Amino acid sequence: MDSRRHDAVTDAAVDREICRALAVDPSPEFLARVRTRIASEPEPAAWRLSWVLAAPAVVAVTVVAIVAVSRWPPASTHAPAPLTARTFVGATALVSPPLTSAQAVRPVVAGRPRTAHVTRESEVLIAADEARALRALIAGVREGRIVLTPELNAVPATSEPLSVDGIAIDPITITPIAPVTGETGVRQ
Amino acid sequence: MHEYTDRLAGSVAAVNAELEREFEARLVESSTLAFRIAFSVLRHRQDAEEIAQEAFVKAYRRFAQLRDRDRFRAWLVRMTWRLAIDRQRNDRRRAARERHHEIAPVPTASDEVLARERADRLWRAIDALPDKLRVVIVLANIEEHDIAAVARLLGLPPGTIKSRLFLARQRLKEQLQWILDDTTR
Repeated sequence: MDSRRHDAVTDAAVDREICRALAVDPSPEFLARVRTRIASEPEPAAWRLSWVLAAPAVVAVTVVAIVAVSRWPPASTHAPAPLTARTFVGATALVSPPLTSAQAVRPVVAGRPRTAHVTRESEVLIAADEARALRALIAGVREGRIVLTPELNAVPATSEPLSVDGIAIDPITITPIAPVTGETGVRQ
Repeated sequence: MHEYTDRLAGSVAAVNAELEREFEARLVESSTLAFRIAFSVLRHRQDAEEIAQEAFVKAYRRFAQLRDRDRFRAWLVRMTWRLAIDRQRNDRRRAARERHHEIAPVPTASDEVLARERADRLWRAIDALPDKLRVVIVLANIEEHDIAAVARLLGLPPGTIKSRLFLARQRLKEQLQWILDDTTR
């Protein structure tokens, strides 16, 4: 009897009862409350991922820009060149190769060097007035207007070695070590 | 440089705005589902709304990984169910008091008393089911989910869902005999 009644109850009837029990809707304010709560949430970590990726890119671009700027200084056409050493790199630049007077008085323009390796050399910086004086001196000597021989002869020669006479060293005396008392090879 | 960062910021803002729009769409289409799942466990409207809201907040935090519609709903269903069960277990005394308060028979019309008694019996029968059967029978009766849909939501094979649904119905039929007799008579 019970089993027949049990069979008579259909799945549809069970589902209908459950559907009826579950036919409850949230209140109209529910969605608004969820939105408000979510709005108060900090931005999710995963959503900030794009910033996490972007930040290193920005840093990298900044570093590249700084390096580029430091290696490639902007050419300044109007700025004065207080130290005009570019054409007088090193002491040898003053004596060789031979300079023509035109080359010697060529105006120096500060700015970007022609090749990168030139900027890597250590530079001797000479003040502009001293450079002018040196150029004039060299030009004068070459043209025979200035004779430096008397001045050079007047300079005392300091390259000769000093002579040292009779260095006396006292003889070293070493006193012998006193022998140890007792028989040799006998344990004390 | 500024132009680059501005463009980057603009792109990120656009992506975030798109995610916000997608989440809003998921919220609208799944809010009732989440609420009913929570309600099927807690049988208290306010508690169910709190649990559903909590599930949506958790979903929002992980939404970048849950943009796929099916994955989102499945995740939401499981999360809501778990939260509701946790709430029920951790606060059983309070839940019982609320349920009693909500379903307490009010001596008015006899039809109303009968309806409340039916609902009470039904929920007690559903509560008596093991969790794995209960979630299947509840999901199958929310939004008319078929076996394939329930299988997708729970991440289980359709065959498993079918057998669990069968078992759940059998047990409910035994428990609800007198109610269903009335309905089918």
